[in-house]
Amino acid sequence: MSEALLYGLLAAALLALLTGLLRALAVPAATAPAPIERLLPRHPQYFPALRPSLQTADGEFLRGRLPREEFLRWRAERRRILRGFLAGLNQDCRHLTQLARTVARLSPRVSRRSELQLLQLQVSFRLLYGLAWLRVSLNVAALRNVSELTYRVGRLAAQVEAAMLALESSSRLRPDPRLNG
Amino acid sequence: MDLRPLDYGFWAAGTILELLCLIWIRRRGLHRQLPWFTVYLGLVLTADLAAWWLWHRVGYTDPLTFYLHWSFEALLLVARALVIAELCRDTLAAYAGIWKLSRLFLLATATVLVLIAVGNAWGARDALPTFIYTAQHGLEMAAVGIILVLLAVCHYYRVPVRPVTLWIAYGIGFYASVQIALLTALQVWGNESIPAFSSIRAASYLLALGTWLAAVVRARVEHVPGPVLLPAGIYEQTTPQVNEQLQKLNARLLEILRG
Repeated sequence: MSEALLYGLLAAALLALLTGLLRALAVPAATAPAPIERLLPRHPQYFPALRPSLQTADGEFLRGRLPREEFLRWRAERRRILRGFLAGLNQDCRHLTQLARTVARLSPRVSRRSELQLLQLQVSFRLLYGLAWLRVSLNVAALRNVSELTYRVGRLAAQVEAAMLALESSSRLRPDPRLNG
Repeated sequence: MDLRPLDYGFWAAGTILELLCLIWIRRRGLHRQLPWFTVYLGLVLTADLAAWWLWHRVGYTDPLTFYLHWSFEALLLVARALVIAELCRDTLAAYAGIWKLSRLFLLATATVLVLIAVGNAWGARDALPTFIYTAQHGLEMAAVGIILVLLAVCHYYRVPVRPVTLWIAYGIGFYASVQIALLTALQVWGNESIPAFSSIRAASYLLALGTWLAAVVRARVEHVPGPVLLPAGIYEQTTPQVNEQLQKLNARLLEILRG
């Protein structure tokens, strides 16, 4: 009986997974790739503007000078901005890995080792990023590390730019005409 | 064993839908693009008509009915495997790099799942019905497993999938998933569940057929060139860089976590 329940649940899970994949593949967005500009990291450029308003020294300075209610509001707003910024960095990374997948899709030869490594790194990034997001939400003192993260994303963008230009010039990111069927 | 009016209804509806599917496949010219799917539907139609004839002329208990029924089932199983292979090739073959890569995963998935099915069935070889149901159960699992791997690869690499291919794959996967649940019920509750089993099975098959019919009716076939592939150097230049930078990002995230 318990085995039947297990298989029943398995069948339901398979069906749900199948439906989920069908929905994901059927959306028109999959047929129209994002413009190349949208794959470029956009958020690191905002970091210099954010930095002065996010210094921890500001908090210490304001703590004794502002009424408690206002100080708490100011701190909450600061954290909200930092979290939004981190989410932006996450989006940049997703775009870059999307680029890597696009290049793989259009390549005549693909390395199994590199692809598995990319997959593993993406999974690690997602997990670590979630935890780091939590940490930053609770402790704004991690600002220095956020700055370095921004630098890494920016460097990654520069290094793949040549590949993007090659892609753009050959206009190979147009929607696949085979989709007509 | 008499057939119920509901069984006749399912039978008639299935035969009509199969015929309609074949007609629309021919009209749309899809038989050139998906020859194994066309052959599969033709075989299902033949099997249905043969089963009708055998049931009414030869009799349900005749050994000829038994052997012909299971021969057709085996043939249909092979044909369905070929349809799945055809869907994989039709979707991914134009993308040489990931086709080579995913072929390996698809073959590995198929081999593992089929071996599990054979192993389980071999363990139940003493009783023929149990042997057949166990083998069928495992092979349905293999079918849905391969389709899931195919769709996951397409999703991961943003490979465009033609709607007709997508819906045919979904129809096969849906039918296989329902079969898995039903065959399990049959193994647990035994023959008492057969009437309900056959009705649900027939209804799910009609749903799959409906999906296929809608897909082939809406399909448009145009002879268009496949994607233009990039020079090999771009991949070799880009991917290691992305991987290296992701490694550094992960190391940095770890530092943030450690404070």
